[in-house]
Amino acid sequence: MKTMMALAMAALLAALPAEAKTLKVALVLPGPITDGTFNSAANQGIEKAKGKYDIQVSLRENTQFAEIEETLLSYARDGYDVVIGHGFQFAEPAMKIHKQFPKTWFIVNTAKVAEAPNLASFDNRWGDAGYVAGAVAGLVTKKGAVGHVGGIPVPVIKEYNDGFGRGAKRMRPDVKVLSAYVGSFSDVAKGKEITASMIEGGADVVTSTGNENVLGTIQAAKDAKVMAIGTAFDAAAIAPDTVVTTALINMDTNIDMAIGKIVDGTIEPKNYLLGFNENGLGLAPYRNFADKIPAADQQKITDLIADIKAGKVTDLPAIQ
Amino acid sequence: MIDTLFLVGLAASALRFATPILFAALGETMAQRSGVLNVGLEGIMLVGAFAGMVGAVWTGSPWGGLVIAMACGMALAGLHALFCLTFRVDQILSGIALIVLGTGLSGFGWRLTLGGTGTPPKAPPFPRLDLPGLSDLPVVGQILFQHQPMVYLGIALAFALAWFLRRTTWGLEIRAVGENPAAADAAGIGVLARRYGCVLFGGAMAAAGGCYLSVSQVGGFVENMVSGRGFIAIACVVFGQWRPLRVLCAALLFGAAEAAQIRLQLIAPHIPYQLFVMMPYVVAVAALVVVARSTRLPAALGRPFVPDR
Repeated sequence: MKTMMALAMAALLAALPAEAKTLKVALVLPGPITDGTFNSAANQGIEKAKGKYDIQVSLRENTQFAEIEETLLSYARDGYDVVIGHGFQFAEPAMKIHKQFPKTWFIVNTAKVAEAPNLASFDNRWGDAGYVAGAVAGLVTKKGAVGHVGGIPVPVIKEYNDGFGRGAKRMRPDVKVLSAYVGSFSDVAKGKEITASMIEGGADVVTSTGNENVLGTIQAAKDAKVMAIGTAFDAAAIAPDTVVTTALINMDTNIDMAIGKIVDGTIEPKNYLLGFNENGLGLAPYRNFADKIPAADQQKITDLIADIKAGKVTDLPAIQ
Repeated sequence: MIDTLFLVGLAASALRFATPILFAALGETMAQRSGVLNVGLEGIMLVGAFAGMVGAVWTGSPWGGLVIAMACGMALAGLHALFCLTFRVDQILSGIALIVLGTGLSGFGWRLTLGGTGTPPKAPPFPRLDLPGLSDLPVVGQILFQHQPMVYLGIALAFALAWFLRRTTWGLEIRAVGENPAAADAAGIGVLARRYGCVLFGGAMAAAGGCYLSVSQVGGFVENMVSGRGFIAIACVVFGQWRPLRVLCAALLFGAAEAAQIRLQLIAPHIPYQLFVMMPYVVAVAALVVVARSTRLPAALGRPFVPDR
């Protein structure tokens, strides 16, 4: 009898925590959640996940490069079940420490690292997004010059940059493609100045990748009354008569998916790469520009996205 | 690609880059001439950028924003003065605390006020100051006479401060307080009062620089948008040898280097962009090395004043 009761107790104890366990998730961001793009997207993803799964979330913003390793370590030591680093710069520190904490899953978003048993990453096909943005730019440009202003050329931004040039040339082979980098993700004023210099150089459609610097590009386009294409986060609300569309990079989907896979136990230590097929990318509606872009051109973009989905586009940028 | 239009764009862009740094550097010049080092400009500029934006939206006028930004900058600088002058805390330490405090206050304040609402409201912009006749001049008109008012205010301020320091009794007293506070004190000059005044002025100007960045240049606030300009301003003070007109030149040189590097990136896409991005900083470091030899550092800079009585 005693043994049976002990066994029953043990079984109960073993079963209970598994049933009622709230997953402790830490989301570590490089910037503020108010940036309206990269970090806002991560916040949106975790909010979505909160609504679906039983998770308790700790959010840390504005994590400087030098603090990354210590931050990841402290969350892992505190017994978090999932530690998510949002950004390419989290890849190396996560790689370095993940083996010390086998009970914690380390997820790096917008990077391509993975190692057994507990390090996975999620990324989007930024090059494909850039390709579509470039195609739209190539179709709507009147002067035949388009430009991309990147924050810092981390791999995904370089992929976007390559894609933007190729997409523009696909629609208009003689197009001039300009490209420059701010050297910072937060320097919105410099982002604006660089964009202004591109517009002086003849560009009449501009796009931008990064964090807060993206806002500078859209402002510059608005001031100069030229067109802009948003990236990642739908930018139409900032300047409805400037933003033609946005090449959506659904980084929120990545985070939502990562937590979903951990909850149902299907996650593997590998890189998940999301494109148009996996809802990792998209294209925002043309809104105020719907009447200004000829239906034939809109059809070309729709066809292009279908071709990318079907694997028929051969010059998409390589994954870096 | 190098033509008149290119040079016009370059020069105008250099002025825009220089202005926020110029305001902060001129304020810091006055503080340092009185003997107080404030390395916390970055934090004050951030608060100025935030308060200017909120103030402009609330009052409906960019000038209202500027006044509120300067008041907030003075409040932060007042804290610095209180710690350094009254409590005689190490000036560098207090300055670093200001950077952290300013970053936090501006970010948190932004979320509590305008940042919390999906799309932040737009601030009323400063009107561009077109001078009849002058603005229409070819080339020169576009470079010099088509800017927002704060650009001209910054340049005028440099001349005003140069005159103030050299030609007025107050200017002389401030210089005396920064060089030899004991002698100034013996001559009946209130050392602490002069230093308080200069530090508060420095705070107001750093915040004005931040306000230019958000309200005038970008037309919006984002967290951490000052991005190191506070430190460049301090370098400009040293490079300008603590003289307002030379500080103006230093700020313009830095602005020109920035304006040049972003254009060189477009002209020479095959050269790694990092080479261009670091150019302004290389200019700053090189300038400091050249100037460091013939330094005119205020003799009592960074030292607390203890009245000898």
